[in-house]
Parts: sequence; C-alpha cells; structure tokens
Amino acid sequence: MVKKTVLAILLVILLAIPSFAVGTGVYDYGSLLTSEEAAEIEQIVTSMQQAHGIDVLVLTLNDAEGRSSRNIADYFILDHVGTDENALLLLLNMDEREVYISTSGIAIDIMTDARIDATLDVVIDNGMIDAAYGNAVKAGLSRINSYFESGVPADGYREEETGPKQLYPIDVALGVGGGGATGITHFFRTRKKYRTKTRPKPFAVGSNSFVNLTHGASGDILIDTRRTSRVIPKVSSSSGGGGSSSSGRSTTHSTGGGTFGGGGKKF
Amino acid sequence: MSTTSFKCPNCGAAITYVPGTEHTKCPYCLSAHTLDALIAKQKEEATKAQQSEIQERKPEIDQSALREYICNSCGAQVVTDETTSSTICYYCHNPVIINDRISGEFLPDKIVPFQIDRDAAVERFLKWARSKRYVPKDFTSPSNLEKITGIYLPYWVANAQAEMDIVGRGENSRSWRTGDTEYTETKIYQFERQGTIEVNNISELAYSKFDKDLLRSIEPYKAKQKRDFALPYLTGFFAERYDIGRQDVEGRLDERARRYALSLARDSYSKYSNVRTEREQVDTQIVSWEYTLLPVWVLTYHYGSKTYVYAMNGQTGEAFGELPLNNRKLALTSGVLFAAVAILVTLGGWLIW
Repeated sequence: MVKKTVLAILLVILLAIPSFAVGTGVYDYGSLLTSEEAAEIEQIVTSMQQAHGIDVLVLTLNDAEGRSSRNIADYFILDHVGTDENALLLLLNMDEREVYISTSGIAIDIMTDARIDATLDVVIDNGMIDAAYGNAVKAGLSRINSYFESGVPADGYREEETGPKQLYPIDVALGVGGGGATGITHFFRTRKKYRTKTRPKPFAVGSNSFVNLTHGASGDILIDTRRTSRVIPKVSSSSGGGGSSSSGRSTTHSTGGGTFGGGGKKF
Repeated sequence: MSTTSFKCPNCGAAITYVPGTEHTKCPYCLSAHTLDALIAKQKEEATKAQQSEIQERKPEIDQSALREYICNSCGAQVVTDETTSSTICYYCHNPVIINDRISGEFLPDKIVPFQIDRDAAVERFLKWARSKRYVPKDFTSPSNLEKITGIYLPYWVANAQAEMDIVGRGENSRSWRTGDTEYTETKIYQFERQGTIEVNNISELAYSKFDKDLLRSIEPYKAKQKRDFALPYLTGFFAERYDIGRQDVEGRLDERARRYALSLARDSYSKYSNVRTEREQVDTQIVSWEYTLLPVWVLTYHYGSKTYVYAMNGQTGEAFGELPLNNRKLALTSGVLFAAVAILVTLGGWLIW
C-alpha cells in the first residue's frame, strides 16, 4: 500500500509537469502522436466533454515503471479528474504493448465490458500494429463517442470484479477456528460416548403376568354424551413476487478509494 | 470344610458343565455324562462321607466364617471369598464346589444354566471391544481375555399376586366438519376393574459386591430355561451365595409388583383418551420365593486408577460394558483432525475469495 502511494505521488509529480502535456485531455508522454494529431485529438476530447459532461483523457507512455496499465490509468483519473467523477481514459502503454480504457462515474455504466472490448478491438485494428497511433486513438474515440451518445444500456448493471486469489487472515482464522472446533468436539464427544451409563432394562411385565380382571357386571357403561360445535375462522393468503435477471454487466473494481470500470488488451 | 469336585467316572479327571446342554464333558477322555448320573454318584459319595464324619466327629466350628478349603484334587489349601460357593483351584485349576456354602439356607431353588460357552463369550466381547477405536491396546490382549469368568450370581425371585379394585370414568372424543363448522362429540363411560393379577419372576440381586444397575442392563433372563438347582451345573464356573437377605429385598419387590399390576390394569382401560379414577385399590402379596442363580460372563479390567467391568448375560448374550478410554490416542486423533480441517477450511477460503 505504501509502495503504491509513493509510486502514485511520483507519477503525479512526473505527469503533472505541464510541458509533457499537449493539452487538458491529451498526455502524449510516449511521443506517439504528431503535434497535428495531438491537436486534433484534443479537439475531439474537448467536444466529447462538452457534449456529454464526461472528461475524456488520452495518455501515452513508453515506460510504465513496472506498474500495470490499470494502476496507471485509474490513478491518472483520480489525480486529474477526481474520485468517482465522470471520466474515461484511453491509455496506450507501449512498455506493455497494451491498450487500456479506464472509466469512472457514469462512464462505467455507459462503457460496459462488451463495449470496452469492442472499442479496444477498434483501437488495435486501426493503427496500433501499424504504428499509426493517431488513427488508432481517433477511431477509438469515435467509437466511444457513439457509445456516449447511446447512453447507459437498458439492461446495464455493475458487478464487483473478483480479484486474484489471496490468503486473507480471516481464511486462516476460520481454518484454525473450524479445525479447533472439530478437534475439540471430537475429543469431548468421544469422551462422553465412552462414559457409558448403565441402562437398566424394563421388566417384561407382559410375558411374566396373568391378568384376571372383570369389567363390572355389564362392562363399561356409557353414562353421558356431549356435543359442541365451533365455526372455523377463514384464513387469508398472500404471495410475494419474484426476482428478475438482466444482462449488460459493467465489472467494477476499487483503486485509491474510487470505483472504476475498465479493461485492456495486448496487441 | 467339605468340597465337591465332579470327576470323570472313566478317567478321574475334573469335568465341567457344557453350556446349553444337560451334560458335562471330560476335557481329557472327551466322555460326556448326564447331570442325573452325576447327581446320583455325588449323593452316594456324600452318604459315605457323612458316615465317616460321624465316626470321627471333630469339635464344632463356625463353618460360615471359614475362608479356606482343601482342594480334593491336589490337596492344596486355597483361600476364597466368604461368599464364593463354586470356584477353581488356583493350583491344579480343577473346578471345586464348596458344599457348606451351597446347602441349607444357601441351597438354591432354581438355576438358569449357562447357554453361552467361554469361546462364544470371548468372541462377542472381541466384536464389541474391537469396534471401539480408543480403548487401550491390551484391552483385547490374550492375557486380558483369560480373565473372562463365568459366574453364577444369586438372585431373589418373587412371584406376586395383586387384588385389584378400580373404579373410574373414561372419556373418548371425536371431531368432524360440516361446511365451516367443526363438531366435537365426547362420550363418557363408567368402568370397573376387579380381580387378581399375578406377576411372576420379579427378581432382585442378592449379592452386594456387584453393581445392580450394571446387571440390570443385561437382563432379562428367559424363565423358560430355568431349571431345578443341581450341583453339576456349577462345575467349571464360579458361583456366589447371597449376602443380601430375602427380608432386605421384600419391600422393593412388593412395590415393583404393585407398580406392574397397576400398569397392567391401566392397560385394560387405555382405550380411553382421558381417565379419572374414583377408586384405585391394589393389595399385593408375594406368594412364593425362589432363590435362583443366574449366569453372567464377567471381565474386569484395571486401567489408570479405575476398574472397568464388562458383563454379559450367560443365557442370552446381552452385554454391557464400561469402556476404558486411551486419552493419549484420542488427543492425537483429535489433533490430526484439527490440522486436517484447519488446512481444508483455509484452502477453501482461499479458493472462494
């Protein structure tokens, strides 16, 4: 955690230097764009911001300093836009040869997993392999813009990402607790089972007896019959409703206290 | 003190009663002899001994206090418990019956002979003991199995009669529905029960050195196999005479007879769901007594500071035993179980999250 914070601060300091940034939306630290391309893209992202109220950032890098694309992208949004603000970042990470899209706020709901995947394909197919990075970014932004115009899909929903498997202290505590409970229960239950108690058998009265009883002069006599009645109260019934299911998932995760959507692809 | 050892008429070796039969068997020449023939021979020898005793009368001594006897097979002087009436000589291992402890007031009326022999008793014990995982290893060792002993224990058996006079009222109800209405009909009957109830074979242990509840756990004994007492049934087995008098158990047996009679009478009006008795008179009386010997296979085992007793009904095989527990073995298994579950749960948690 401390390491991540230090790295984030260093990156902020590094990336916050104005001379590295082309404009407010394009950060071409990897020098992948010509000045014309950068300017054109700057216009596109500005118009997207104005049209949809979502900050769109483009970031290029040659050296990721050992960090993952997701980490860089998420912290960049945190530092340049804010926590849980409406934002989208398109990252071209040449160190990992990876294109990554990070989303925040409403962009998470608009850019579903499927839409991010499709956008990444568009970016990669339109110039990443041929080193036509300006075209790639523009094609990607165009697709993103079309999604912004479509808005949140009717069946959209968020789902927290399941992270890599980790051994948490709670797992160990549960293991020790469960094992302890099982071992102790086994020990004391066995001890109790071995403490046998005598079980005197009941005397077999039936097979050791002879009954010679008379039932009065004329047997049992019916001396009275009583009859009562009552009205049975009616019982009302009610039923509950069922659930529903939907598609259009947006997988989310947490970074630096904010919630992000996103996805990436290698090329 | 005079003793009796049943000897094989053919070879003179000591013979033992064969459980579940009416004869004895010689372990050396393998000849079988009926109990009737042995009883006749024993009476003949007793008469001879009595004549010889008259000729050489010794000063009278309190026979009941004597705890030593001379084995008439090897001549060794052997000390017994003061209630032991049939035993096995420590030296020559021949079965010996101590006559003075099995005569007069101590002469049993009835006996239920052993139906289960030693091999079957050992087999049943092993089947039971080996199913228990945490008993000490030597619990089933041959040296421990040698200690399994067939013993006849003394019981007072009472046959009782109860005069019953019960008057009461019984109710039965039934319910049915018609539309939204539920009807309930209750019929009330007056009933009377007069007459007698006989309750037989109510038994109480007449021996203080055994846990009564433990022995009641291996009951019942089948009265059908009860026989008139005869000495040869004892040969090869241990036997004890009573040390709890009839008068000491009479009250308990009377109370039990009353309880059983009342329960039988109540059965006759159990068809009523609700009963209220107006008169419930039960007068019990014990009409006859039988001093009876009942067969038990016993194994005692000393472990730690405690003695554990295993007892088996020598007639039916019904058994009850106290189990010695090897705490070390149990602790080890519990520890392994702890480790296995801890690892599995931890791995499970790791895989789930």
